[in-house]
Amino acid sequence: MASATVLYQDRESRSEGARVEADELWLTLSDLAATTGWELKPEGVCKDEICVPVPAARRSALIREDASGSEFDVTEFARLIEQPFARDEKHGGLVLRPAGLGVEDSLDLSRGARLRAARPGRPGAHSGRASRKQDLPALLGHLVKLPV
Amino acid sequence: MVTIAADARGASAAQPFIEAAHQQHPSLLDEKFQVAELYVVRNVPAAFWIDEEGRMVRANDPIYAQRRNRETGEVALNQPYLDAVRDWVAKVPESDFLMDQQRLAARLPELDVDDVKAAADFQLGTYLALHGQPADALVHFKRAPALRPDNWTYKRQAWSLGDIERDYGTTFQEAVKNPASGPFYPPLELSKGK
Repeated sequence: MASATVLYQDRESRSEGARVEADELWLTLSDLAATTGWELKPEGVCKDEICVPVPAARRSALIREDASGSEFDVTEFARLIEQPFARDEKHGGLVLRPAGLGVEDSLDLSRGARLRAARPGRPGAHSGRASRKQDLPALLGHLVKLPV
Repeated sequence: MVTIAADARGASAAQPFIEAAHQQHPSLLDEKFQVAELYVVRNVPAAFWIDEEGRMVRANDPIYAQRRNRETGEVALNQPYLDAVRDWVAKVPESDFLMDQQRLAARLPELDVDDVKAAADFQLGTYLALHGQPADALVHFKRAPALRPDNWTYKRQAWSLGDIERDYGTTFQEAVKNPASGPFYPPLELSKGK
């Protein structure tokens, strides 16, 4: 077991139960959800309104189980959904995407991901970067104001 | 008017410049380069005009309102740009210096895979550098400009978090002149007409 730091959107999370194996970063299912918001469900790997089916041919590369529970290879999943990432093997650091960009922006819904019916009142999952670009005042509101 | 300091080193790095400028307008800190990445800021300064309706009408101008000659100390105003700003203030939607959608799109291109990969490496390098691992940050700080050689914000931040000569085997002047990186600043285009 090792500790790993995952930088995902604006989130910086630490997983104490990670396994680092060469290019792969395995997380427990609870750490996967805590660090990225993705959850393993019967319909696939899901986040908000999006579910990505787990291809049978890649299931063993993504999910494994042992006596201590299930583990998920988050870097293999990033490859599956063609999500760019940066890894630091020495310190177990992982950046799944740069801050300011939504995973929705790079998730190609034509490649098998499914958009679950959006809950009433919630924006479409693929609003992503386009909507953030239009809402600069909201983004600026999150930045620290420096004393003049 | 709002200025945004894109600097991962935080307020302590940006504050001296704000104090030296004696500015009257707000300044914000963009430590995570959120605004810079969203609006494809590949070098600073970069100026954007946003009208009272919240619409961006001019984007990514590489300007200084004034520049000081380091050798002579003489301060020169960027008069053409200041005149353009005054034209906009006076004429608002009829200003000759507003950009149409096509020009705005060219100034705000969609990010490609290399942009996103470069941003991921830059973010990881910054994290490592700020958490006491500057040597391990280097591979990421070198990978980012390899993917996006025209992104000077990444390079300049990386240099500030290390030593440009020791870590990158170059100087600022040599790096700016390297043709493989493209221009340090694109030309300021103040042509009239949309």
